[in-house]
Amino acid sequence: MEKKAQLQLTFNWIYILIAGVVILLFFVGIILKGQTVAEQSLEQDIVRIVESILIGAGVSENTKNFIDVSGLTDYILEFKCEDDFASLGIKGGAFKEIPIEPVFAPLELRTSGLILWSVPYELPFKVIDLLMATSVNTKYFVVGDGEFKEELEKAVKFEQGDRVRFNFDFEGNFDLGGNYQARVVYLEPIGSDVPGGLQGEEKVTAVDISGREITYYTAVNGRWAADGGAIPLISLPGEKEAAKYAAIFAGNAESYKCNMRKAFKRLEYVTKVYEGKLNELLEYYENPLADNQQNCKFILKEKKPDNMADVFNFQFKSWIVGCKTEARREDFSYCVGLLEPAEKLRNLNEELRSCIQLY
Amino acid sequence: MKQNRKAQIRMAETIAVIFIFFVIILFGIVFYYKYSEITAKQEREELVEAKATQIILKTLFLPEVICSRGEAEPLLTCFDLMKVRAAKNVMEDKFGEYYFNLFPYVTITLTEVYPTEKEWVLYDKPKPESKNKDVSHFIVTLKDEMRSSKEGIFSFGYLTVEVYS
Repeated sequence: MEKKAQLQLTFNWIYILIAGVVILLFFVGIILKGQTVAEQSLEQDIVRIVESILIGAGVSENTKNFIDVSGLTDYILEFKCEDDFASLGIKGGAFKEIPIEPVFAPLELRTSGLILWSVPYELPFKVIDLLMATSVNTKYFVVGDGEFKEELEKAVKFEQGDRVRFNFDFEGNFDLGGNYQARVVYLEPIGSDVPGGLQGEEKVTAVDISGREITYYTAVNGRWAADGGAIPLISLPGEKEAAKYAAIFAGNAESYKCNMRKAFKRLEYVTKVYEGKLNELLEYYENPLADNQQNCKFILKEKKPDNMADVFNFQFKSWIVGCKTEARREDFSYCVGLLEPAEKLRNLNEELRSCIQLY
Repeated sequence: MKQNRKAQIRMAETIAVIFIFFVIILFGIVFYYKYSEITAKQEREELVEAKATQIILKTLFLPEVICSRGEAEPLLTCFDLMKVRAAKNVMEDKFGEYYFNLFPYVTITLTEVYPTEKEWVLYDKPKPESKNKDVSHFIVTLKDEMRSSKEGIFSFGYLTVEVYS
């Protein structure tokens, strides 16, 4: 009897132990699952929030925003744009496609502060806002002089202080200074060697925007290695050339081209809208009672060699189709042809000052 | 006999404990489910509201319809009706897919309230079988340069964005 009781007691303890372990495992499983789900959901939330920040900043032109993201310092934000697929995400985690908005940013950012700047891309009318994104710990060294340097210096000044790490007068003292990455911007022809202070640093890239072409470089064994060929700058010369600014911030050649293709795509659609407006204008100025009818009609359809209707329909529009197709094949040189009719449209639109302007 | 009875009582006790245990678990599950349902609904509503705000912002700065002024900065919260008339066809027909990426299941309407009353549907893509929609309005200026100077080229209206969920 005593023996039986002893046996039952031991069995009870073993039973309790097994049941306890099973229950414990069940709850540990739930907690682990919950943790994974929470992490995924947090990553998705981060991506969603950053995306809405980008969209908000992207639509309001000529605005600069500083966004405090000190909670995200554990994450690496990735900006990808390859083969016409653009995304924003967390490295190795959640990501979101950005099919419309061109975002020019370093390929990776690990930061406590995002800097966003939106500049309208005009060819000659506004096509889309190009959004430039960088971080407080990405350092930019501008090498070279000239008008563009002065313009850039004024443009990157922030009202709340110099948060963008742009260095203009550093007297050859290239120093990463604990920042996450550096970009050397050459406004004069680039040399072959990586500047001394940046030798041996991993995250260093360069861009040469000295002419009307853009070339990206990566640092390989202390020397600059070209990343793809030279990309023609598709922008009308003048102040605030959005495509030129964008080149400074884009991570590499592929990312720049991929984002510019988004702008060319939109250009086709915006042009369709202006085509509708132009047709309405032509019809309107057929009416002799319209204000300043003769002069406006002359600029719109009679002026030789170039009038608004001819330039728009037979030059500008046909270049757009070709540019979009060729740009998809990685060749931007065809798009240079767009610039001449775009310039003509700009001048003709100026002439239409006393009439209804096209844009 | 006495021992048998004791075992029966213990068995009943165990069953009662297990029953209560499962009732508590069930109660917990039901409570958690209801809580999650309410939270999800709230999150969905917040998302739709945020989307509506985003779409209003996007529309207000849409290059296709803004009141541009040559090389100068465009007029804010102003729509060029000549462009609106042309944009409607572009956005809905041929390039619908592109604009669907910009404005998923949304209806965007411009309404003129003064001096005349008119309405233009800029974009219309209702979500099939959608039961809910979030409606937001924004006051805007409308510009139609084809009107005579006597009528005035500017008019007053509002933008309506309906986001389907």
